[in-house]
Amino acid sequence: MLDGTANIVNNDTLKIVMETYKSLKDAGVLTEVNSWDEYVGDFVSGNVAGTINGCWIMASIQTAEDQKGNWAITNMPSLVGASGATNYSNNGGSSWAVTTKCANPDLACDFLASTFAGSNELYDNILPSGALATWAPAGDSAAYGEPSEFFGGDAVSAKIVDFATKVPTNITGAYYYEARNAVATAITNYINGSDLATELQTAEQTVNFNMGQ
Amino acid sequence: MSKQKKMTLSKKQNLTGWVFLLPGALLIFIMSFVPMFRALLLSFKSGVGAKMAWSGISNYVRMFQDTVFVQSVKNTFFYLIIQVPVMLILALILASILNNKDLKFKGLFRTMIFLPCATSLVAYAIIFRSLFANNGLINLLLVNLGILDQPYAFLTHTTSARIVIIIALLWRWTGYNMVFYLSGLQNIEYSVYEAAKIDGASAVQSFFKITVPLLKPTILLTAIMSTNGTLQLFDESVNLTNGGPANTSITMSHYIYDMSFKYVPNFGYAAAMSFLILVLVAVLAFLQMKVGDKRD
Repeated sequence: MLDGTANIVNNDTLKIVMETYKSLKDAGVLTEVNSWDEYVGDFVSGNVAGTINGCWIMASIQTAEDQKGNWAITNMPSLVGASGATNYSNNGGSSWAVTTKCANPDLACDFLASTFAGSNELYDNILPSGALATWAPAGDSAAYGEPSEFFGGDAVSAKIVDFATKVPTNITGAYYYEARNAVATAITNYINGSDLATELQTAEQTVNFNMGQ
Repeated sequence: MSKQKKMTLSKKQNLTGWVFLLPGALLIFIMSFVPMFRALLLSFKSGVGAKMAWSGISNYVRMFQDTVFVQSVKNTFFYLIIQVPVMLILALILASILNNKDLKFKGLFRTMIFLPCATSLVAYAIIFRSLFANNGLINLLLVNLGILDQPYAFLTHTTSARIVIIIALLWRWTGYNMVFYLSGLQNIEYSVYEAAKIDGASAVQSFFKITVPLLKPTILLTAIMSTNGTLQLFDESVNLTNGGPANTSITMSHYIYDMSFKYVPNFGYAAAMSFLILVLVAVLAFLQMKVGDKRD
């Protein structure tokens, strides 16, 4: 939460997420894999119909040359029953920051403002190597509008930048990995038949324990 | 000048010996003992990243309240209690079989059993992971032979995930211990076995009455080494199961790694947990020596 406390036990959205995940898994809609190579292997070999992930997964998808033209990108289904749910989400990414120890903060800010936060040319140059911007104006350029043959002639880069402008913001905080692991443990136990409320309670205790050092 | 003349030959040789020892000893001291001492100091500090402050024994109290760490201790002891005895007995049996003078292709068998020890820990863990994957070789065999209707998710169930780790450890380390036993068996005169045979002892009898007692020092050595190795288990937990499902296969070293390099780093707490492993290893080795070594 904004004040840095863990929001797990009374988080209604998280409860809906876990219930939805379990029902999708029980119904056989989702397939469960143990490792990254199994995950990539599943869609490269055509075992699954699709995957929900950040746009950086496109590079792995495109290694399956024989599936050219069969893939498409769309926005994700929204979570039914959760307030404020949208069809857009984000997974991964990185940030630029100027530290207080910086010798010349004005110069550093100016540099970032005229490159990553202001140069279509820069984004057009790094696009072929797979670096996709979430800086909205970058999506207007010709390079971003280029249709992708693999994805059925769709202008996927421009599409993703457009999606990115609609993603709601959230605050992950410094203890993101602690919380993620605790919630992952709770989901695993819940799928295996444990009580949801108890698992969320344990997860919050674990996160609070890790934060209280 | 007069002092040097008084030096006897043996004193001179002793001095030369110490001079030769000095560089190595110094390096070990700087590279090994100083960091160990610094880690001990670190374990009494707490804080995030580089901002550490003295906190007394709070880290040592904290680890007993840490449910994930307690779980990791239990997991590690589960591996220890099951894997080490099974492995040592298997190694002992294999060594006695391969020590038979009449056995053909002995060198080939020895090499084959020892070969797993030459593989990288990460590589073999990843191979075991893919073997036991949902679409891996083991599931493929079980389904095609009609034993299972659909693939069993070995690594997403607690018991089977732990068993897979134990099988992997057995594959990797049995040959290593067998070599110790084989070299120990070289010191037992073959005529002892022949004499026993003439006296009418069966193969089982000579195994328990000759091989096991005479190999006792070697068994003690391998038991201590295996205990030490299992308590520090890391690669298998990280690469094979990634600690899952739900932390039920995570080892102590894996959790220490997470605490230092994955989570918000708390190096003081991680150092304290490492020292618990040291204490556990020392205590178990001491117990094994008390139980196993009857030489005075």
